[in-house]
Amino acid sequence: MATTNLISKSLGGVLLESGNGSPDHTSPRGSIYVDMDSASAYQNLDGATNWQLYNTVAYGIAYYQDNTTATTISAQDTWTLVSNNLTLQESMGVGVTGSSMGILSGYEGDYSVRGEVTISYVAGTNNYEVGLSIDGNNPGIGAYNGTQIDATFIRQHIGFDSIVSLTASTTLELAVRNITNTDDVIIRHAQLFIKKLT
Amino acid sequence: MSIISNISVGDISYFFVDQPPTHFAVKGCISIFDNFLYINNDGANTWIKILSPDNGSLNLSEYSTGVDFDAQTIGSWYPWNSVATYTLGNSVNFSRQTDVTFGDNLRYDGISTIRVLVRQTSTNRGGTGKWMTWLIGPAKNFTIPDKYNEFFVQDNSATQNVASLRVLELSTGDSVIASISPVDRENGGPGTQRTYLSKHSSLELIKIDESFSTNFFLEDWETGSFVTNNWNVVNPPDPSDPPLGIFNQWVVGSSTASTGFGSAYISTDNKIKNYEYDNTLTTIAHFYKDFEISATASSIILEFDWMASGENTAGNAVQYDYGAVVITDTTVTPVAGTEVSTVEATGTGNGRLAQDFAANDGKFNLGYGTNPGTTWNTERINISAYSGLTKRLVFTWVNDVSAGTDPPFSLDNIKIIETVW
Repeated sequence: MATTNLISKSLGGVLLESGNGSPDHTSPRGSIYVDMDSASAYQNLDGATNWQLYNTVAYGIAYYQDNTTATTISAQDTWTLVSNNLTLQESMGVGVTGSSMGILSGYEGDYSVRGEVTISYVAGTNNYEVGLSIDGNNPGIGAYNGTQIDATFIRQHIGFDSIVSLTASTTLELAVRNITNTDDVIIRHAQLFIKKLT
Repeated sequence: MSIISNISVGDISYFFVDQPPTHFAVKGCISIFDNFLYINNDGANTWIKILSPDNGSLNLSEYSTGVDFDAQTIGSWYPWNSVATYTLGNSVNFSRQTDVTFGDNLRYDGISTIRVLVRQTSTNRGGTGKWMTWLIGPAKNFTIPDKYNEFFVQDNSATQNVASLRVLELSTGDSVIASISPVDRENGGPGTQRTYLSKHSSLELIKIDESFSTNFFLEDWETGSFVTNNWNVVNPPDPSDPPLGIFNQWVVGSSTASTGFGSAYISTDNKIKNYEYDNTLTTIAHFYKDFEISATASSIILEFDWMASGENTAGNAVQYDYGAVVITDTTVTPVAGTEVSTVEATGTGNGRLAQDFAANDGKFNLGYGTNPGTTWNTERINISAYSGLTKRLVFTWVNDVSAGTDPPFSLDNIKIIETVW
């Protein structure tokens, strides 16, 4: 959205500015603009209309390692939430409850989400998919990946990336499905990382 | 926290504050503290720090020399590839370094302590007709990673890709490498078949947070005395009658210093000219001060520079003449001739402090540090466990009645450093 309601104040050779929407206006190089809608700050790069969005600090990494408890697959092609408890480590504005991750009040915004897991063999030859469940829903398009394991290839890796809008009530969880059969699977290792973008 | 000044631009204000912001403001307002910008995210009092970019990456592709799996120990960790030359990607405040043992690594060259998201993505190819499994994960300073993922390769016709995430705290000079640990391998067959290729790998580091550290307290003895700088001193009584002032005692003077001109040290005379002790006089002397330790800092470090020789038995098994640093309750009053504590301080308890207690039993002398009789050593002790408490820090010199080598205990640049994320 283009800049509206632009207000500027001169501070030496630069402008301190505020308005609504992403900046698309011309300002002196180095000027700072704040989008009041998203609470995002930008700095002008070239004295024209190119602006750099500042990075902001809200993030969290949650994980578990060496789990041996299987996730029960009740039906083929049906997503199941992974119930293994996550442990929150370094974080700012992020919390963990049981197997779900979320942001704290006041830290709303758009977040990058990365998940990396190891799946481990229980029985059969199966293709599994693991992805990001938001508020208990099935992973959306692009938010999951898959691999095959069997009695020989007993452990493999699945990773996914996504960008989502989060509020303080949003829950993030891992979900898994078996697209081959109904054999259970162990989500043996997992790391789930989120970082605020805007 | 106080607002020093502010500039308004419409509904938005730019605040200059003396602590990290906690005040209520309109969404999008900017607060500037120290060298950090914060932006209000909710129209209330949630402020989110704004970061400058620091990032770096190491990359290796199409490597084709096999690694002998049998030469590796199951459960041990190794550099993902310690002999290849990695390519450094576009980096800000990171550089590629080479270690003799661990190979290429990515070193942080910035000033502040930062947190980085580290992602190792690696592809391995198996050996001839034998299956293998590994863990992979990024390692800080060549230590074992606590987050990793796992993968399996059937044989030399198969490659597999795996990735692992960690968040690491890095200070200047810390390094990160891609690492790998063998989990299992198929039995039987010639060992030479059990090889693998570390084929492709990417190690990516992106700064996600930056701390600021402040010297909550600094005593460098450049000005003042024990009294004027609000230290309490407990020296032994003068053994001479009438008093001559010639005995082992704490003084502030300029006979030695780690930096600048002044330090606190044991001297044999109250004219503070001699940095030496009389090893025929039994001595236990203290100086101390009370501190209210921050309840909000995420990390609290007691740091000081020290020098001492003293006396130990051969092999340093028993210490006779040494310095000690004790944390205790403010109700405990040090007495000349008696040590305040001889046990290690654990948790929030009272006792001796040391960076590596097992190495010195909380005793600072020739048996600890690097050439401490001639070189100043810097001790950094994590006292974060005492967050929110008011405690007494006691610096003590102890010597028995026989033998011992100068110099005695000297202290400079006593700091309490608080780090806030």
